[in-house]
Amino acid sequence: MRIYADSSFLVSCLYRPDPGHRGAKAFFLKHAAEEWLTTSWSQLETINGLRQLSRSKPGPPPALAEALRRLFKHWHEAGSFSLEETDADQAVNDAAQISAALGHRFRIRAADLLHIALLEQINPDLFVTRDRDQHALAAARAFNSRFVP
Amino acid sequence: MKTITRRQLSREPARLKNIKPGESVLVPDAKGGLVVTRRKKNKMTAEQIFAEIERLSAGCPSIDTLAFLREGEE
Repeated sequence: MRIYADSSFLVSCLYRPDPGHRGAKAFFLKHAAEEWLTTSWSQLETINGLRQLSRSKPGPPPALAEALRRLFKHWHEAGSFSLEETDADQAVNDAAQISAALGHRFRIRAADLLHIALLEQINPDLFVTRDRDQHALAAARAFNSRFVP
Repeated sequence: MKTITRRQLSREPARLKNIKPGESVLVPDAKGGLVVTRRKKNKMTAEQIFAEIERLSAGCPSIDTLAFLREGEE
């Protein structure tokens, strides 16, 4: 099974003190043998999210984000994740169409639209998120989506 | 095992650079050829990764990352 997780899930996976970490970790370990996909977009959003945590008061030291970034990279080279090549222009075009079709019905952030647009390209067997809005949007596009609280 | 001729190698040297971990490529010549192998990387299990995450995050404050990162976003 090919699984694509968005950054809400990945950041929780990587940041241990997050209250959502336990659930994300449990879900990951249950499906550790599956093929986990990332895109350049999900990697960027995840790593940027980890860096942003340092702005919290109190927050982790900036060095933690870099250590987790290296570990996440290593997880790709020697673990369960693999980077899926995608077409960024196509994703933006698809995102614009999804916005036109569903923007009046769902609460959608532009950044999250890209994840759903990327689903059209990589067509995973399962999409995983910790974001209810994202889950609702993916389900509306008829993707097999799993909300991990 | 894949084979690349010396001619192909001289025209596209990146073909050797791009071999995957654990993969070998044969460049044949009159003396039997050259085998180029990229060693396999050590696999880390998910449990090992999470143990490393636990170690790195020790002492860091609890943050609801979803709420914090969504704050003020639209």
